[in-house]
Amino acid sequence: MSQAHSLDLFSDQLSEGPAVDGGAAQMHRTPSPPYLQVFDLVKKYGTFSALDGVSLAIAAGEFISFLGPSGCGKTTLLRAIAGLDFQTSGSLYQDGADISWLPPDQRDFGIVFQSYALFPNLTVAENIAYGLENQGTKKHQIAERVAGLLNNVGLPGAEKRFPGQLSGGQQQRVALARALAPSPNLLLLDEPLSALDARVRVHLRREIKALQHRLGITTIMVTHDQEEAMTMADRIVVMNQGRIEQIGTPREIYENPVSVFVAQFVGTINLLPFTPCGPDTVEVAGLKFRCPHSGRHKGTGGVLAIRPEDIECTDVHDHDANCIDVRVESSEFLGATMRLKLVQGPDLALIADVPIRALRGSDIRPGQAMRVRLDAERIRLFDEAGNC
Amino acid sequence: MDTLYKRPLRAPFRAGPVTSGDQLLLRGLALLSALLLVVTILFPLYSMLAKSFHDASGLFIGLENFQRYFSEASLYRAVSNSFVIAGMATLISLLLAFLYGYGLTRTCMPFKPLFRVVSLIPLLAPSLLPAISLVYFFGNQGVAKELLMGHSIYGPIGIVLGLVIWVFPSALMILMTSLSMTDARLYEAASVLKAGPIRTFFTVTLPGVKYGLISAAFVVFTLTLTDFGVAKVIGGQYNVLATDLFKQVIGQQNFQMGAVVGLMLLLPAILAFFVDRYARRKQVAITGARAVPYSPKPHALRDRFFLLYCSLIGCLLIAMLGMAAYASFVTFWPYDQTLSLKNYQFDMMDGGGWAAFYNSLQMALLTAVFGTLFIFLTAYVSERCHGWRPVLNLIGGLTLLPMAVPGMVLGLAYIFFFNAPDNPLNGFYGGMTIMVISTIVHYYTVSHLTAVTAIKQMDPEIEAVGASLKVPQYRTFCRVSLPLCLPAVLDISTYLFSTAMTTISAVIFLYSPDTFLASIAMLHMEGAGDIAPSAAMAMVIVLTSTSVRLLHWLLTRRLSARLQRWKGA
Repeated sequence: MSQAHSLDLFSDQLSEGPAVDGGAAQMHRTPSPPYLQVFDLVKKYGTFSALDGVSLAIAAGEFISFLGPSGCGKTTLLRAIAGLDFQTSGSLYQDGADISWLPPDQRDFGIVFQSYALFPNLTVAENIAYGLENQGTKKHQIAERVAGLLNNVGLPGAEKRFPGQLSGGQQQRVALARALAPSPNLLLLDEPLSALDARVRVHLRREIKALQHRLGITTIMVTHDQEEAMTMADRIVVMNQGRIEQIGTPREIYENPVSVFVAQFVGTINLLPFTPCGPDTVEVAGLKFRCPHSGRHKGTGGVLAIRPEDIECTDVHDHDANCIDVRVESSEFLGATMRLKLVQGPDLALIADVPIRALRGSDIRPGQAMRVRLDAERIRLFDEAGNC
Repeated sequence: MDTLYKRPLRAPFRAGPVTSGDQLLLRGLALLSALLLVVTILFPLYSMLAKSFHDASGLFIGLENFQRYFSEASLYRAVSNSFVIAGMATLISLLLAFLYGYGLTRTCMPFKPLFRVVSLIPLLAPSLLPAISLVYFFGNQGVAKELLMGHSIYGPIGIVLGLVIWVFPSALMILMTSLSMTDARLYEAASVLKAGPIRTFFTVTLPGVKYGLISAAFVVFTLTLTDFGVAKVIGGQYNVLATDLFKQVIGQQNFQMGAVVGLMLLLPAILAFFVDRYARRKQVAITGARAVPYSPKPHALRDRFFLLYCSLIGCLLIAMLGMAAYASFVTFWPYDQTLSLKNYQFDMMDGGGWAAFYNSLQMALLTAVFGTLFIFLTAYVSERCHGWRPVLNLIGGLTLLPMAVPGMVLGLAYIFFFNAPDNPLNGFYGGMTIMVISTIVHYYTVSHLTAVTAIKQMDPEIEAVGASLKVPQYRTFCRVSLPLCLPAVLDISTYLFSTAMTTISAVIFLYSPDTFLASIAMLHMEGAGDIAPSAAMAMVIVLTSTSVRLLHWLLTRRLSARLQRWKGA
């Protein structure tokens, strides 16, 4: 299939274009053939496998994020997709064509590196025009296009400046404009925001997302920052040790992690070893908890997982199995919530995020006794290997 | 998980990576570079090695040449002489250079830039110049002959003194690098822990420059062991390896014995080379990336002492140059002290005349242009070519090897290889081409390392960005990489030009009557007793090198203004 989206950056109808409606969030649910397919990709460095059989499919117009700790293979995967480093085995299809072994200059993509890799001796305009001059575009058209692109990334009038005279965030925008200039159908972002200040990062996150949405360009972003992945991506590919752990929307990943690794890597979570005891009931540190919606696993034992926000303060004194008496060991004030470290005996420690509203009027001191409830609906169980 | 897609029906039509046009070009260049390096470095050295195991008629005789060499006292005497001389010169120059470098990096004495410039004086002329100056000071008709208290300057004393002056800048540069790399935090820690200055010196300063000292020692040792100019002018009857090699090859046409002496020079040089490499790696390792540069605080006594010391050394270096300059204008030393340009009428003398100087100029220009082009391109290719590891490793090894090969050995090896009647490249022998090639090869390693450092400092993704924008790599090279490396390119070409102006060692075996060089003319005139004209020729060389360095300085200043603009305010 050919990508339906127009990348004409000068068309004013861009944001209303029909392509955009179909793209973005809902795209992966449509049955249309995927724009980019990765089959069983393996990359070996000697005996070490940087990629260990990775397969995935990306729909046109999707914003995908490869998320994982350093060394998980996410950058290797991106570089294989770009053709910058060839895989050991496996194949890649872009827009229906086999690109597995094509060098980068014969593929269709634009890329923004972590370091931006702007040409320091060329002006902003020359940087952006770099890929256009080669296509035989006329001078005045190039100038128009450069101005349009700069407008689009929010840097109008910066043509004559040198990259060294711009701030990190501005350099990032120029790198983005340069990658987009030849109208590629695939945009690759390699940790694009990690070199920036926290504040600039949050701001640029929204802008890149909006630009991507406006252009409807299929985008892959590598990041180790879960917040970045969650806020920007339509779908997240969580990777670990050269393998894909889970693919899903940010919400799916957060609410239904398929493994302890994903649960731990995305957000904060309490992990408590359990032994099964009766139907829908498990035992943790001598206490019984009901968990009717805990997923498939009951088995012989494993790890019970619950997010801090799914533990709530309660003063109900019935004999609901999921209510326990605890002592506050320490507390951290986080603004909207209070993060409490709770203990029950020597064997059970929990972290709970309690909304400040629920604590109004009461003072939390270390040693204070408290009663909390673990939301039975939100408990997930993993087997001993850490899987569902 | 929703990744269970069916594989498209179309079978993959390729089984392995397709090499891009860019990579094909790089590989072609890599192959060409490797080939040229093999022909100009490996083959000649092999010819020399082979020669040492054959007799004059080309018969293989094993170690017989070596046996004969060591059975003749007059021959192997040169080995011990050379080692004693090199050892002494190394020790003295290291001590002098360490103190000078300490003054420049670790004190607050005034006039540091001036002292730095003055320290470079010996690099501006062939090693003959210090020796000639010494003759004017301490020779039979020298002005300060009495200072030697009856000892003769012609012999070991003269050689050591001349060598010390000549290698001083080389030792200083290496030591200053390691002196300025030391972490200031270590000194803060030492003073917080109440260590006195002496304890700090021995526990912080010395260990910090240990590898710099080792590295400098071995580099200087090789230079002094293999230098020809000083010993030729002032050595008198004192035999060292370099002069011996010259006698064997040019005087007696005994090429086999020449090859043996050549190996005597090559082996210690190779050993020193490996020690130096090891030390440099260690030096980098002990200076962490988080080191804070040391900036000295004023200390009246120390600063005054080093000002005095550096002034003394600086004055000696200026006196060395000044004496030769003065002598070059004196009509007839010591009888007619009127100043004239008589000694500059080179055409009236033996040794090629002014034509020799123009030849030198031509050779230096050719060396600078072709050398820079080849060295920089090879460095770029070896850094940016993917795959083809064996070829790249070969290039890597061959670009380091020249540093371990003394100039005279290289020249000798070139005779054996290029002068062989069955060599198709025989036509180069005796021409300008072979001298240019030998000079490029002789000074290859330093230039190569300069180029590699500059290339490594560029963002490695620049070419990847170019490829993703479908721009051929040669274009990105010309528009981005080369402009970014321009300072290094200028450094390399200036270095090649000035060394080509002053070199003697390699070309001494390769020149012909048509390709006399200024430095060789100096040697000839000096040998014929025309010392003043020899000094005059040295002045012409000094003037040329100085002008080129000045030009380089001006260009670099303009360039760094432009680089500043690229880097922003």
